[in-house]
Amino acid sequence: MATREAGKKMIMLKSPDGMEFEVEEAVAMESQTIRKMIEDDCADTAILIPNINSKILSRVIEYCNKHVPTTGATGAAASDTVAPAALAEDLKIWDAEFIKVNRATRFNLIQAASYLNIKGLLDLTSQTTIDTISDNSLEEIRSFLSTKNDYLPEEEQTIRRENQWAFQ
Amino acid sequence: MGDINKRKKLAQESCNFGISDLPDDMLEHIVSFLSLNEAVRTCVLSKNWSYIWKFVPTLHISDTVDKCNSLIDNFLRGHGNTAIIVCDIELTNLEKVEMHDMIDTWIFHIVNLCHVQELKVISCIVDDFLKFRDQALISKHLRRLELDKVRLQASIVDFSTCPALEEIDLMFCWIEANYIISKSLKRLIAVECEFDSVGARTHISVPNLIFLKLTDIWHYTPLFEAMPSLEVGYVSLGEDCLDYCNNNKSWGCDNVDCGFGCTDGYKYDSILLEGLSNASYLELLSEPSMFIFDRDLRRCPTFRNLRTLILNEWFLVANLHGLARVLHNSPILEELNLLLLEEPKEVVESNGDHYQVEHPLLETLKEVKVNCERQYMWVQEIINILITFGISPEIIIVKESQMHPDVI
Repeated sequence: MATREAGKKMIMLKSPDGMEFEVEEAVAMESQTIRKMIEDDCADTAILIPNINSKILSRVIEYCNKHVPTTGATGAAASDTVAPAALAEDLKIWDAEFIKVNRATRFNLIQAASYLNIKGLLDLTSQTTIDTISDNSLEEIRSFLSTKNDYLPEEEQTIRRENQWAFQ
Repeated sequence: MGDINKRKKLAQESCNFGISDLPDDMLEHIVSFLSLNEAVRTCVLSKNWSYIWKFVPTLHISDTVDKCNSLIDNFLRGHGNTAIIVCDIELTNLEKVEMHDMIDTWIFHIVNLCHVQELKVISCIVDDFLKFRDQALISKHLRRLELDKVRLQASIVDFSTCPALEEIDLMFCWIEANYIISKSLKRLIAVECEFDSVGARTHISVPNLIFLKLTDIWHYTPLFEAMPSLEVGYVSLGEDCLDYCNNNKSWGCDNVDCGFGCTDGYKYDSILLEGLSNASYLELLSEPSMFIFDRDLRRCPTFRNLRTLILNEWFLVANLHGLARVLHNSPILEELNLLLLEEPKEVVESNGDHYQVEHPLLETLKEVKVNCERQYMWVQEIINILITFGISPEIIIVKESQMHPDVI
């Protein structure tokens, strides 16, 4: 059974390198993957999060902590239909700071956001990746994405010709 | 030892591992943030990337009308009918008028073929609107529709052909329809839209609406039919609305020859308030010369769920007669928020003739907030009248501020 504190259910998350993180259930449920586990009653003593090391997991928890809705589900109708603009702006600034990380960390965050199914974090990491590569040359983009050009010159010509309309 | 080696190996792997090694659905998600042209261009990165764009669940185009038609055409050839969740089209300046007349056909085509769930069309064409001519928008999948500077030309805009449609967001749109109908709609936002149906008010029939925001209407205020599920209503009638009456010196213009339309009560029972009467949160703002709220309050509906009510200076007409009626008909009201930022042209007198509100009906009222620039004499007069209504002075809070608090 998950630990319970006064009014707030707590959930234990374990990373594969043995670290444990106790988080509020509402925070953990920002992840659709964990939400499903809890709803299906698979969250016994602790949930093991495979493939996500403690450093990345702690950053993911930090993100979820910031993004968990402040008002409860029973709050006023106005608050769940429209988030106050000031709050949204504050979150945007916080996100911009949060994502100032090196390439490897960002890559790990993408993987973590994908596995844990956290849409906001997935969108943030994807958008930042796109912003980083836009306005770069093809070779720079390939290098950033760790992609090797495996086209023969004539193959590349063909694919360019097929999609000529997008290169105009 | 084994563990350390394993960890070292993992660390090495993660260094060599790059974004391109992510599963295809992740790459598709990343590419979904690119415009159509940029997304297609990723095909030259490597063989793995040659097909990623074809499965991206979004379509973002920002181009001239001319180019947009051909982009959609090429996109459909390459992409086929793979599902698109978000289709987001921004049209820059108009080039050829004949192309202009075809663009809605292309858009409707893509919505149908690719099962688009969210359609956003923004027109940046100078001095003209983008035309949506008829009811060709037919989709089982469309959930959200956002239009900016679009002209809806059909006389009846019937969204029954889009049974999953839940949200409509209209900005600067020109609506010529006599009727707008949708049974599935839950959220409707219309900002600075012109409702201009020939000879009549636009009737809006959205019986399952939960959230309504209607601000700065041009031409005539539309008439809303019953919305029994409505929770939040936000209406702000600005100076571009033609529903004003210069004769409106006292509560309700009784001049039968009034050319401003405020006495057309025989034609319609209620324009807005009857439709809004089930909401638990209402913000009703209006220029004082607008007659819509005053007119609807002559046959004041019961606001049986209303807990929070926000009003501005219009309620001061005829010594707060309108406010008295609303209070009388709101049995569970908890919070009343009054915005008094401009001094009324008419004198408000606390010793004038007031409508009495029966005491028991104010029992649930917990707080009355009066927002004013400063606590001038005229503000104090209004507070005095509120007290004569039976509101306890202890729950009246005066808040001095220069600006309208942005509640929504």
